[in-house]
Amino acid sequence: MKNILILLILLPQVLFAKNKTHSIQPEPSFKLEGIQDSIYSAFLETVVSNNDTKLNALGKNLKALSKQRDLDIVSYWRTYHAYYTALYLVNTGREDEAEDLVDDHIDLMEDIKNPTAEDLALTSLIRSFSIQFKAMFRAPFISGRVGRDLDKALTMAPNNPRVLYVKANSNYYTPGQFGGGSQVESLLTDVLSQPDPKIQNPVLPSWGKRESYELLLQWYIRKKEKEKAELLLEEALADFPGHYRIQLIGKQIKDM
Amino acid sequence: MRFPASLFLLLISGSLYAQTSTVSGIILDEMNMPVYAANIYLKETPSKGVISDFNGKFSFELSASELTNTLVISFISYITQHIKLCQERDCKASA
Repeated sequence: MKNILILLILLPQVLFAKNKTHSIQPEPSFKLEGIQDSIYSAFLETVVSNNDTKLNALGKNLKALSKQRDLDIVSYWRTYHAYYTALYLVNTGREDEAEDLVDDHIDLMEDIKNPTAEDLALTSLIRSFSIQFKAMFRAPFISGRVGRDLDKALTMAPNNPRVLYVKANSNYYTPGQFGGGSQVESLLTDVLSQPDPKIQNPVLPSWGKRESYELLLQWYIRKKEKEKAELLLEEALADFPGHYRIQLIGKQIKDM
Repeated sequence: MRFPASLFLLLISGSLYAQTSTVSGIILDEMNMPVYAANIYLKETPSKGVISDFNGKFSFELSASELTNTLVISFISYITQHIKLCQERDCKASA
């Protein structure tokens, strides 16, 4: 009887331990190569189908990988994934979940000891995004931090398209009385005038161009500059043919 | 700016008389830690290259004519390294 009791006590622990070990393994087919496109495609699929299975699976794999490999680049992609997941959560009215997710990943990025310009750009993007969840009086402090981090990133990599895009994005959402909007067009034009990089690295970030098209188009819509918007829309669709979000913005431009 | 991938070991293996040779190596940072996802490519043919794996290792094939090329190693916030390939069998190089 005593032996059976011991077995009954030990069995759940053994099962739990086994399960725990299993849960930290990414799926064998999971790779970091092409992760940026995988995350963005899963996000679009999630938005269109309202089914977040694929996006969640990517998140689980990235988290599992982070347990195996303590690498800054894994934290980076976990945060990029969290940003898109939070976008989806906000769109489906789950602001509290989005806020927790965003805050956790700002902390994750802050754990990086020597952040690169890429790290600072992504942290600034997700930190800017977090402002919507915070009390109004905190906004200037968060914006100030974003501004300082982006300035630091710009000294490290003055032409980095993601740094420039995030700076434009931050400026876009800053109220006019605090200088908002003054740099949006020039920063995004800078990004869009850059040639595509000669060397593609499938693990490192390359986003920024499509986002810049989208934000600049929205800027022209906001400023009611239809002619500029139409010209840019043509360029955007030539670079990203049939892109779902650019086409949506295109419909808005038609209705201007 | 961080220091470059300060130690780079390069080993070219394969017969000099063969049509192709393999260049392989490991990318380590200043702390001797492997650098994951560094770009390794030929200066003369930038489209020909690979990225280092989780252990900093890489390997790719070169044709005999490419053995005189220069290998470029780059990674975010590290200084890009240029290494002239050597033609001897099993030669080692570092930067």
